[in-house]
Amino acid sequence: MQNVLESISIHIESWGMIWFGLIFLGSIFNEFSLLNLINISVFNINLFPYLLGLTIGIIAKLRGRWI
Amino acid sequence: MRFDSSDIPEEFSFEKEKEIARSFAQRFQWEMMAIGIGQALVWLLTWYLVINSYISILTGFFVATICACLAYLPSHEAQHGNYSRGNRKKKWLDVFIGHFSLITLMYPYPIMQATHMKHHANTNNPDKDVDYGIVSCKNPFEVFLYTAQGPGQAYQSYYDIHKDDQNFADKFSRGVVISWIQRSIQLILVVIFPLETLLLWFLPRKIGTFYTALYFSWYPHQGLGIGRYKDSKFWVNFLPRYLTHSMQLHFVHHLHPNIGHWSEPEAIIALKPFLLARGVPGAEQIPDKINYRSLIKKT
Repeated sequence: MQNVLESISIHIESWGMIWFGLIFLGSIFNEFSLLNLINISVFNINLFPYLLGLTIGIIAKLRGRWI
Repeated sequence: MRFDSSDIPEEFSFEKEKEIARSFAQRFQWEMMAIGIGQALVWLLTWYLVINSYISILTGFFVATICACLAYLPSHEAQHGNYSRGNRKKKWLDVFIGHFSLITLMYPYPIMQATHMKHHANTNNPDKDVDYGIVSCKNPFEVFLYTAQGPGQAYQSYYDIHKDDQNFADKFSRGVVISWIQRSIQLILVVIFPLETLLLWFLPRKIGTFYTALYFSWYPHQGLGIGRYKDSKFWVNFLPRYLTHSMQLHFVHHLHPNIGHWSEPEAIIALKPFLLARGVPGAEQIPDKINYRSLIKKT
């Protein structure tokens, strides 16, 4: 159990910002994108907002901070 | 400033100060319990009302932000055990209100409790005080940037410093799991209700965190040193005291954390002669009677 928790902890520490960018920011951008014309749609998922969120998450991880 | 107890007349001794403080540390803090549970219920109700279009999302954002600003202090009382007052049968009240009140701010109660106790023990110590990141900000805008950014690796550093304290380490570990659960819930919610999660949870939480950091940490401790009677101060700004949670009196909380928050204004008036005797800066500005405006007179 301790090993599992440690693995999760290490994963979140390394990938937390990227997951946050992809899922949280991506979902928010996706919602806003319904109002505009930029729409790269695959299986009814608008990819562009999620790519934008993922990019911001990667940049934040590389910088080590969001702002 | 006379902080050396040997200079203090017997009538203002620390023992007598403690005796008076103890008389304000008996009453059940039902007001704080009502605020803590009330704001969390209102916040949950706001989700229901917004999702079902009974109120607009902007109205929901406004209500959720007020809830977030009210969320920390009731949990803070629980962190000090001020609901149970040492009664083991009432301990569940501390735990319940401590956890429930913080859902709006998405803070894990065990980590808040563990780090807050270390804050009291090491106030303004750059290495050991978890709030020092806020206190070291030069102005409110820096506090805003600090809270918007989030603590980053700061909590990991504080864990490394205090991990030899088994009680701290246990609480911290439990809090980390709670934090993961909270984050996971938020990430699931944002996929289903993106704007609602942004405007009812994420942004109110950020605003509430900034408000809490500014009034609970920065104003009372900024620019001060280390030590009892030295690490906190009386302060004043233009806002009525109910909008700042009467945090002008945070000084008395650091002297006697078991005084209930709602009783602090009365306590500080009773303790005024003791603080004057010790030459505490700003003590002469304590009024002789409680009012609804700022409790500390402007000089």
